[in-house]
Amino acid sequence: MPTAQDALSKSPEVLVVGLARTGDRDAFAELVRRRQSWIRTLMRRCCGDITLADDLAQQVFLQAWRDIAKLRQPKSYGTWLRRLAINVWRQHLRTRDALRDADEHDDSHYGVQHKAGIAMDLNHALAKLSDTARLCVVLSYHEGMSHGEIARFVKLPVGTVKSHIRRGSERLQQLLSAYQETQPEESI
Amino acid sequence: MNGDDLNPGLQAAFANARQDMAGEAFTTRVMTQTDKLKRRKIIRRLCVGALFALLAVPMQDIAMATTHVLVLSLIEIDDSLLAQILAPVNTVGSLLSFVLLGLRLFYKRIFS
Repeated sequence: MPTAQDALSKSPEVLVVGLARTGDRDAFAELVRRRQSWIRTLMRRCCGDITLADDLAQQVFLQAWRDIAKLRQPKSYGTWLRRLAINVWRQHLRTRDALRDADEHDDSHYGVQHKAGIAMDLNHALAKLSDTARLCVVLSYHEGMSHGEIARFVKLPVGTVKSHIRRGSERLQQLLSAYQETQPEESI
Repeated sequence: MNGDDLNPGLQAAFANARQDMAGEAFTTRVMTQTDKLKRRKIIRRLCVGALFALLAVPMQDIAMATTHVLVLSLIEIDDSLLAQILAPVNTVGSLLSFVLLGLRLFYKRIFS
């Protein structure tokens, strides 16, 4: 006999979102289950730190739980969640200590991260970019958003976004090539 | 994917780095937090309700006493017609209003 969770897992997302909006805990858990991998990966690309990324992803879902009743169109749940994620990330940037963060992004963990494979190399390389450039690059390459969409999202002119993405991509490629040269078996 | 010019090498790097993460532990963690939030919300509402219940009677008493003081006449006038005409300005409330208005004007003149 199928359980409620089975039924939810087979239901279309719009329906599950509709249930979650009424405060249904199981429906919201199903939404977390469906989107957690995406949001956690997005946060990892943004911050480069697995633990912090998971904490931020958790904050995103808690924010979603608080505000889901305000979501007018269940079909735009994905876009809405992405917006929450970016806002949580930007809020984190605003509140963190810039000097301490500069220390965190030194190369002391490079050896450990390098062994963890392509994803870690990419996260490490992304961490070398400025916050805005990283966000633009991640939204463009990871999220597949157009320059116009990113500009609206981050509230910057399209030209500035393009420039961030172009320069960020060049820098990222240099960094990834350097990693590839130092450890050729883990190719990008 | 978007239609903007993107570096194919980087696109491949991002695509290769995608990994599907097992999420049961994460989901459990999030749901535990949401349960805590829910409990906290209920407790907060109960506290606010209890506070209102506790303070309702004294607050009502204070409001009634204040109202009583505000309508007291400043000067006793024997002529009833004159007393009625001057009633709006011949009360503690009107005096307080004038004082507050004066302070506001004074504040505006000094600081703006």
